[in-house]
Amino acid sequence: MTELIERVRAYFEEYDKLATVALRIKDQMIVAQPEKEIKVIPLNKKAEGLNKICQKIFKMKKSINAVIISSLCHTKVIAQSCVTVPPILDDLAQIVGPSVRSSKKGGATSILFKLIGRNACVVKNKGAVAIGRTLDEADTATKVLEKGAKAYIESTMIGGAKPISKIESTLMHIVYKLKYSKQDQSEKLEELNND
Amino acid sequence: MTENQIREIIVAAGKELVERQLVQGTWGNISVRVDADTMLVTPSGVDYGRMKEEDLVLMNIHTLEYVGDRKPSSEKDIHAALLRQRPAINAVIHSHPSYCSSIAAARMEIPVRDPKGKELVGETIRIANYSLPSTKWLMTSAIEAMQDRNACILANHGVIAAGKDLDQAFEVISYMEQACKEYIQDAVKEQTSSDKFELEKMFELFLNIKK
Ligand SMILES: [Zn+2]
Repeated sequence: MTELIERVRAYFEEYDKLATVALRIKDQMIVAQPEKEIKVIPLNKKAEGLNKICQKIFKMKKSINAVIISSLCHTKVIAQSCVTVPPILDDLAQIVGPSVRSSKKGGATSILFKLIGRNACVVKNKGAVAIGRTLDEADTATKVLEKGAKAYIESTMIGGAKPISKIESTLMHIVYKLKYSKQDQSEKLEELNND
Repeated sequence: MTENQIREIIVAAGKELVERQLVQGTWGNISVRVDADTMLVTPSGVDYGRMKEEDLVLMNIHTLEYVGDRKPSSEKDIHAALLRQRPAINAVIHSHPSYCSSIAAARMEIPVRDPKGKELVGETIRIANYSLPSTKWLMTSAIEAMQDRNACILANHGVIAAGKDLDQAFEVISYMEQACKEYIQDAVKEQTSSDKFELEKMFELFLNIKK
């Protein structure tokens, strides 16, 4: 468990201790949050705020073991505008999915709804919720979303983005998920069994 | 240059791409011509920080056959085709830098203004038509967009930069990122009637457009 707490801490520090980083360990979760001690919380214990969101994601999405809730520079602006980001870059389509939906409400149910078939969404006036089977996958989704948010804002400045088709972007996301599930087994098992 | 020396310069260039934020993680790839038939290309899925000389893949540019256990980068077709069809090119870099990605998302051909850029890249920065990554179609679009050019933007994807050697390819990709940055920032300055680019002003503009 100590090793896993340290792994959560490492990601938390990479986000300058400004994000919420949560990792599922069987029926508990390790959560690191700004200005708080790292905690281990049972998934069935009543939780509030961002802990509740992480808890609900882990309960409802059995394949998800990591959640990162962040507020990076360009992603924050997308969250403020509450627009849906179309599939404007291959890596965004592959890793996050064929669009990035925006949730007007900050509740867990609304966020879960926006995460159907996606590895991330934005929440109005808050930031991004990124999920993954491992911390690495959630971290990659967060960073790819930030790059996509920047590209969406900047392409808007020069006449607008021209997205990839729905079919091609959906196909890429499916292929990525299949490929990743094979490649990633070892790391995933390591995170799950190492307690 | 010997094969071993080429291996060394590719590994060093990979680390420099990371340092200069021209590449993230394992995304992006580098190739250098070894002789008339072969190239050394970076492997698939290996972080530049951890890449070693022996990880590089020796590959035939005509048959695409390769030696060793490592799989070559997924965009090997574009690298091989450029080295095959353009004898003056000896090094190719593909990556997804930030500002190039924004131009790629807009699929907008942009002008090259300065003489140095014209010499390095060509008259304009062209966009290769969109095709799914790692496909023959993407290779065809990239080769077409690279005619009379040393670089192009791959629509919704990233950038391809080439040169007579790896140093020049590096110079080309750095120029591409800088030119894309200036183009975007100039557009923002024009729309905000300001002679200085300000991030907050761009955000304001974006929020107004999307209101
Ligand atoms: Zn690429």
